[in-house]
Amino acid sequence: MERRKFIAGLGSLTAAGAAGIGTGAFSSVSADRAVAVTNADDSDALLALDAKASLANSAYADDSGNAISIDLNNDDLNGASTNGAAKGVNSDATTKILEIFEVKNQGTQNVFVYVDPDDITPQSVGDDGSAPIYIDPQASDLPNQTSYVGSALSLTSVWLTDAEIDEHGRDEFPGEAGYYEPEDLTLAPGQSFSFGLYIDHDGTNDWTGTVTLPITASAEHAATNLGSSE
Amino acid sequence: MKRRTLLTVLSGVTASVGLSVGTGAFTSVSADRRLEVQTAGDNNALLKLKQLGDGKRSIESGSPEEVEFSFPGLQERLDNPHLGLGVDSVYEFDRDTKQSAESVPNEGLLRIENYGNQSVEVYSKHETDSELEIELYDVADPDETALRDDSPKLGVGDSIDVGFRIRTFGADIGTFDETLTIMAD
Repeated sequence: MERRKFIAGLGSLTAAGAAGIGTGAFSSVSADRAVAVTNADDSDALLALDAKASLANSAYADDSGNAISIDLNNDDLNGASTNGAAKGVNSDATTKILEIFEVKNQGTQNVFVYVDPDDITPQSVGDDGSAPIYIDPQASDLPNQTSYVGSALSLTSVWLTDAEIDEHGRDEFPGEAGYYEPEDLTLAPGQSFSFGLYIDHDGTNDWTGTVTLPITASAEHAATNLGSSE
Repeated sequence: MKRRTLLTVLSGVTASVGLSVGTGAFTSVSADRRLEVQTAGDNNALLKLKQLGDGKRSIESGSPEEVEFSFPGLQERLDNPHLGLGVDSVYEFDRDTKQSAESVPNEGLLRIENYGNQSVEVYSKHETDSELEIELYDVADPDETALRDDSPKLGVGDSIDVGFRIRTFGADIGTFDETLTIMAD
């Protein structure tokens, strides 16, 4: 719910500013106006998140509520009705699960889609490295991909560590797009990619938990020239 | 928190403008989405790894539970501490030690089972500093082709029983702790 407030909030600052310029000096104005806001289910949102049945791993997504979630745990893992069904992802292994749900731009501008690793919670499952598990969101079926074609791209790799910046001569987001080019993760209106996960467990201890992944789409940082895209 | 409250109040203006104009333009969206993850031992994981036979060539231990293999088997080494694989040889282990005494021996030392949502090709990778070479093969395959040379495809719910082939050419006498990586993709 907070997400929607936040989105709406961004635009309103502009409106307030415009009003201020036009009306001369005043200390305070309070004007009540009727406002119509329509919230939508994730599959119908401006940034739509949709676990389409055609996606190979949409069974791991739970879209029963308004906000989609991913369940890779005991209660909800697919196949739970069959004997000996899996109860979790492999320990001491690297698991890549692509094509869980579709991320689609239903707005009217190009948007650059990423996940800020600093905003993933808990931080221990990210670069911080203190948990036995490392989780990184992935994008595949990208419509404008020019880097590492054929591979899924990490949605967090637009951020780099200082060492990575030195080593690769790349600047991190938003100066450059980290390891990638802006068009790699840009979606034109109507375009979509598949959201997935990379999960690496070091085998030391079982890990169970809930992770929050902030999926962000920004028009400001999107590539404007998408070349051959439709 | 206060910031968000303020933004919420202001936000309505934009939303209404947007609606009246009829555009779906947005500047930025950030959506927090929840992911629940649990790791599981080898017997309960998406790629299920189940040891076959009780002759102690394979054991399951630890938390999370992992399968480990020993050649010769642990029981064989208890019975004869000096036992080992000969050098400059190719060994194939297609079943656990006790199985050969059975009238219908169970083949395979490890069952690899696909509990995911997609078909996967299964093979093994062995990286080592030693001279040893370790690979898996399908015990039901008359040619005993290594998985890494002809990777079988496992549909959802399918399984394959595999044996171990170990080449000891150029290897020294001793005990080696090796890691075999099982790939499914």
